[in-house]
Amino acid sequence: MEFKTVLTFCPYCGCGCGLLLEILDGKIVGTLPSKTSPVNRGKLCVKGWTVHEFVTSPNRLTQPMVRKGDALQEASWSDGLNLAAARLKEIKEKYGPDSIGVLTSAKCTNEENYVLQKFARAAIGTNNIDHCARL
Amino acid sequence: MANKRMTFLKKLLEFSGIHPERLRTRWVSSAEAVEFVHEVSEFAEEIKELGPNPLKGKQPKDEVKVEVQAGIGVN
Amino acid sequence: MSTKIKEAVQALLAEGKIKGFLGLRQENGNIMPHLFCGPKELEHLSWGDWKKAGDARYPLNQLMIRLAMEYPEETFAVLVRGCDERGLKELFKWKQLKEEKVILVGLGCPDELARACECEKPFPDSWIEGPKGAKADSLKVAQVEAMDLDTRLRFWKAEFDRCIKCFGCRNVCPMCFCNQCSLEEDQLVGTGEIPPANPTFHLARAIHMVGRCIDCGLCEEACPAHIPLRTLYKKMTEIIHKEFGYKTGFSVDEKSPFNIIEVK
Repeated sequence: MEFKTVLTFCPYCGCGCGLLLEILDGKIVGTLPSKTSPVNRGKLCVKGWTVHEFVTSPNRLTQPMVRKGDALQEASWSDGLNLAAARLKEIKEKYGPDSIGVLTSAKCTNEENYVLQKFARAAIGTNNIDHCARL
Repeated sequence: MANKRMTFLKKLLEFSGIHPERLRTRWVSSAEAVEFVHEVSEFAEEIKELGPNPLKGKQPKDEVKVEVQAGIGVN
Repeated sequence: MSTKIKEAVQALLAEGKIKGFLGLRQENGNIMPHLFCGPKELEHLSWGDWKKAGDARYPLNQLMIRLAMEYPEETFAVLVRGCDERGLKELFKWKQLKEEKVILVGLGCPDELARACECEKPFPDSWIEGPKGAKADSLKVAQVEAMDLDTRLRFWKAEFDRCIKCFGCRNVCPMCFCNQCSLEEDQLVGTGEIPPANPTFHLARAIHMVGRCIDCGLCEEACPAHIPLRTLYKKMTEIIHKEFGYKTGFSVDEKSPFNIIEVK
């Protein structure tokens, strides 16, 4: 058996609070604020305190889903990506690039956010890019 | 158990700034309708004398800030 | 750092008396809880002193409950200060942990920390190492009691108004073990309100913690709004002592007047 706590940073807002994930036998079972983190010094907001909940949530998607009629059905990555690409292209051609918007997230890495804004501006050709932290 | 909690609660309310007489415990059976009315009416009169509920409505933000020594700013 | 605790733990591990020692580990300047299962790991042992004595303490009792639930047949050792030991004595009586499965490894607190905590007894009975400080006088409660009723109410309302309902006080508390927390009940404390129902939220917490709070101070340290929670809880502990003659965490047999747990 193994129990340890691992120092990491809250994936939500830009504050960068240090938190400890409690790992029991390889599974995340809880969250504690890091007392030695200069940013938050042992305190967290409710989102930071519940980080471990979303990681192991049974509601998380494990496969791409495609809407067929009213229902969402599991699909492969290639089917999902092909459909998304085809539909976005169709919409761009019919309604213009500004009919598409891209919404990114603080839970993405900087690199992912960079790719998304590049996708919006260069691939789609729109300035309609925003981020959940602005809402 | 209820008695114990009530004893405790009265003291805690007093520490928090709420008059302990605003909380009262009485044992009345459902067959004692007259006693019940009497208790409640008497309590209502006494409460009126204590004034309106201080928790009602928004409190004016005033400058009462007592430094609780070493309690604030532990870190 | 003297080595008495390290040696004691090494012996327990070598003799196979424990599956692991739940303590604190220091790595790259950070201090965090850790279960030490081998002698080599003990090189990184820490007491939780980062910049000041005891400023990197964690709720080890809470983590112990987690381990015991997953491995109920195993015995563990745990680092305890005076407050942690009070906590364990209560947790045994509240049937959250089995006494025979937990070995206490005691550390005393220096005067500076004991005074900051206004600690009733800053060293455990199971003391192995560390200073054995004297009981520190309480001033925080007296300061509030010096105010008249109206001033007290305004004081507490202003303090509780800063609450952001992060639940840090409850989450970090080593004595909070309820599966369903009343504070999450919409009928008691309306959801979606910040600050939460003032003073219901905090008074409800106090009512639920009476007879269990061991005055470790982790709640106040976890509060991002610097609410003087310890002052409220210290008064609560004083009430149970004055009205019912009960001192939380001092007896191994006598149960809190609010503890009606029976295990058949």
